[in-house]
Amino acid sequence: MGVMKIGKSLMNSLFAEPETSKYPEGGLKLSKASRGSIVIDEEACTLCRLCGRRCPSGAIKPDRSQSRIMIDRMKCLVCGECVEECPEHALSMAREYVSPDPSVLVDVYRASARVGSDSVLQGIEMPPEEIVSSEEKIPAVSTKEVQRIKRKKKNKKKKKKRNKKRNKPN
Amino acid sequence: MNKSMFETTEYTSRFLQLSEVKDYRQLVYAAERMYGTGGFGNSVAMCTALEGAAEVVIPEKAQYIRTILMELSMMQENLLRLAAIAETLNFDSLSMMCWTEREKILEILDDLTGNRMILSMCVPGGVRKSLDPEILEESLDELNVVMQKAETIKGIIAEDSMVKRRLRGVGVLAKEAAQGSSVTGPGAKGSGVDIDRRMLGEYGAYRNLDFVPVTETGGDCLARCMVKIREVIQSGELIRKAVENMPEGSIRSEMPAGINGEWIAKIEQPDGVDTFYISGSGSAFLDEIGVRTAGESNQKIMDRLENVTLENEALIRLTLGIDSCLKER
Repeated sequence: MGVMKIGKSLMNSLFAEPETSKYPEGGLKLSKASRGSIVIDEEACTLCRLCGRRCPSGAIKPDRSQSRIMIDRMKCLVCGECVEECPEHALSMAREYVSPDPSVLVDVYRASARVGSDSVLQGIEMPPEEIVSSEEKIPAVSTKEVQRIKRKKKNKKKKKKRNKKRNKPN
Repeated sequence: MNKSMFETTEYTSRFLQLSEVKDYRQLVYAAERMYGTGGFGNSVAMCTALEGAAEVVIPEKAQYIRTILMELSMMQENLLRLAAIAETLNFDSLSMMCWTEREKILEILDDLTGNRMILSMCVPGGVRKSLDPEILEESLDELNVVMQKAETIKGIIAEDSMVKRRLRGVGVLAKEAAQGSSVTGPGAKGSGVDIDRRMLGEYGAYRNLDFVPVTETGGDCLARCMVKIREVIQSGELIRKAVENMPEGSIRSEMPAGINGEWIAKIEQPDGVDTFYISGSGSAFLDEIGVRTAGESNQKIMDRLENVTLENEALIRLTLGIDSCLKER
């Protein structure tokens, strides 16, 4: 009996297909409900900044002064909070996979900014220097407490420097 | 020594630190990521606590969807634990069988929600989206295949002589000791104590799906393994019942801008009961958060066990659910 059982399971596992797929060679198989990635309709965006306020990980950052939106694809959770929140329906989820490019971490989109008088900027391509690269990191959200701690640290450093200067002549 | 109820580990406190800068909607995602292999339970606990404090009643359909996803993630977590136990026994083929079945359940979750493990489906006030009925029917067919395999795994654990020799009579927890201690989950159920937070109907649609918690009388590692695999089968039956009885309607109710009040939510997880405590005073940022995972409460009964030896310690910890490397992330 035992031999029969072993033989049966051996034959099954010899000729059965593997459960997992070989990812880079076999290609990506998107699931039926795949969330894909966030897509921006740059024409419709009014830069109201609600998406940036709702984002749990701070991946989407609207910048009103330069009329642009930045998405950090490595930070994005694809939860859909920003898509639900957008009053102009400018954000949507496309059923395609954007492979994260390690050289450019932040995608920059140019918003039309219908609100202000900055619409002159429309249609002008952004010079390559302005595109945020991986080296240039966007500062994280800093609360008042964090700022206070930073100030304290700076003060400490200054005190140390002062003390050194005082001690040197001795 | 009077220890506080909510002991926090280093990793959990990182979540607590995050609660100072994130509002309560954003914190649900942080809670989900506290636990790598199946954070859906954590997000359900967090949302239940928030809804309780804000006195919001969520729609019936949302409760059913939460129940289905919760049971699916409990199934894959139980199979993962069984795979780890089988690997500790050096029974590699059983371990691989468990991994294979877990992979199928992860694919079902991927088809239903778009994510495999960290689902991002539970939001305060309901769920993010409803489940497609066609995909649900297809996944029920796939679930039947998993259930048949789970019966085979159950047979192996119950009958295989090697498994019996390693697990029977190891780390015995008597029923009286289990009743008088903080142990929950398979540790309690394996000793014949039928405590299960799902029976209280505080969350999910479990009140409408009549079931009895799985119990074994052995109290040893074998009994706890049997509880785990029988829970997998029970979860499959619960999912089928929930899909049949799913009502129509909305999936989300509105939450207030700020949370005013406090609440404790207790959720049944594969290792035991996870506790979330929140309190707020009217703003979107919470005043207090406390988290106590099942691993912490189970750890305190290690000195009440019988027949503990050094070579069996890993098995005892895995079966009881004291695996702080898997939890508290």
